Amino acid sequence: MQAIAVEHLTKQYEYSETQPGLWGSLKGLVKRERKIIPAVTDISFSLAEGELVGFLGPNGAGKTTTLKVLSGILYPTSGSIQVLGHVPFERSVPFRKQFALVMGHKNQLWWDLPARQRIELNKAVYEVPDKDFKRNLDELSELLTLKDVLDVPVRKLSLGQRMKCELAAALIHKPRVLFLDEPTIGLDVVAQKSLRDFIAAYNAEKNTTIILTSHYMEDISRLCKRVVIIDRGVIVYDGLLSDLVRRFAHHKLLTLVFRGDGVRRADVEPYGEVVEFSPHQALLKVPREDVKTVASRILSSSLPVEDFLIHEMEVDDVIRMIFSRSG
Amino acid sequence: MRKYCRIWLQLTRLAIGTYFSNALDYTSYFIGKLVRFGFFLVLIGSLFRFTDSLAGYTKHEAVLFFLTFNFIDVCSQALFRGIYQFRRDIQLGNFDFVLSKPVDPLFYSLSRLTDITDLVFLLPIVALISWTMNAIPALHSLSSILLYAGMLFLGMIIVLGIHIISASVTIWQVESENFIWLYREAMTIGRFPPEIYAAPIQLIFTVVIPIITIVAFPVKAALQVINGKWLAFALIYAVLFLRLSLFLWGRALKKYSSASS
Repeated sequence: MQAIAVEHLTKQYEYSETQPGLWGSLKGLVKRERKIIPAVTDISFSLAEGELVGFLGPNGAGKTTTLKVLSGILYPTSGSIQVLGHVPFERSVPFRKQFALVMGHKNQLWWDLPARQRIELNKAVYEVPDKDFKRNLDELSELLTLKDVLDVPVRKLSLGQRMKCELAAALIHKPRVLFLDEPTIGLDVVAQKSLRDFIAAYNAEKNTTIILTSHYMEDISRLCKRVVIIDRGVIVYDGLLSDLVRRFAHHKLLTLVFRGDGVRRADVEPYGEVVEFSPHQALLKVPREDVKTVASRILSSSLPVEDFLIHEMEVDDVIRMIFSRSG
Repeated sequence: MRKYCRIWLQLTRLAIGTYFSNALDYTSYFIGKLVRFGFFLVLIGSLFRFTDSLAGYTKHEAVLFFLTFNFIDVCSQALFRGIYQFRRDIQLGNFDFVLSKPVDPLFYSLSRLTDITDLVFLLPIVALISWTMNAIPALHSLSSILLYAGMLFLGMIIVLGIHIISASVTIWQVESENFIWLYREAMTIGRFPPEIYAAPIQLIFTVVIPIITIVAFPVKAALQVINGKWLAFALIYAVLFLRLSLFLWGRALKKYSSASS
């Protein structure tokens, strides 16, 4: 069954523009110019139950807007959306009991109170039976190592601990779908890894369908087989992460290591675009279709090649290239 | 119903916990309430000492107007205090979490900061109302008490509607939280019998900004100095006003655009 099905989703925001200055403010009291910004335009995708998909895009691409429409927080301008067979913006109670939303830059915990109290509120909100609550909380405490943290006021916790408590509060009712909007933002590398490990384990164990947005490629590459790349409200790629490079990277990289006295820059320039150079090592960018020919030419040339490596562009670089091309 | 009672209790516990988490801050806050209540008692004392009648009402009847105003004011502040936090929730995007949960977002937003200490102050106000009503012979009947309670209930319905409209306006115009303060200021009109104002002002504050309907009608109904058609007006007004406010709330949710990440 498709857990999430989005067809031709469009979302536009309306806002009023005010002119600068005192006169502009006074004028704004009477008349304001209304503007429309398209946030997402005619996007379609679907997720099977249990899939963990990465949602990538630069700031303002429409990732969070899409998550909010899927959560029923925002009404779509047009299009059809189904999550677990429900229409999100109808905000039915059975729908809202089956998903959870975690946003890395916002929190639902009460600042002056321990996270446990917020989690107990969620117990009442989601009507989690006492036995299930205790079992779920124990399980989450163990997976997220929260035993010593749940009863500490949230304002005393580190960012990493707070994020873990947010996740515990969001997952106490065992949602079937989880929307994670930049959950690792601002965390140190250790906390990021800890959270990633948890997400991977939780997805594997509970078969929860997860959409993850993140600016950290490490999150996406470690967790997601499939990515959806969105830019300026339009999906530019939806497929396997492993195919992303082949589809968008029209070049391969050649690393050459030279022996003896090395070479001059001019010696390697005829073979490709020089990305990095030192007398004993060069990194060249070569069109994908020319790699074999160039490799053969280099090896049969007089260059003192000691080692030779052909590799794909890094995923980060490909994505950066996609975004900068669109920008 | 049980679910919402549990949620309300839990929210109230959390609110109390928040208030008590900073002892110094809460002590000042509580002292402020005590001072305010003290002034309220001084004013009642003054009404008793220095007036025999006010706008045709005896001093006990005049005091009953004042006590009714305070009862409604304290109830609405205690029960709907969440509205004062609502603008911040909208600006910071925390309202997103409310919308994503299987709970009525309006109920949650209004109830999230229930102030139990305000409810404690209700006890002396209710005691004073009982004592004052006991001192007014015209109120020694079940019908008077039922009329008073019924009109008080309708008054609270209208107050609820005002808070809902305020929340709706906050969603539409994020910058604005002045609507609720407009209500708070206007409510002071209801402290004394409406007859102290000129007839046009009475009409405006009965129909357009229904403060007199909220605060004065319960006392007038109990004293049976109000026409039956005004009681019917109050009933219809409360129902229609609440429906209008809920309609506006529904429209506001459709317009909600959240805060940028």
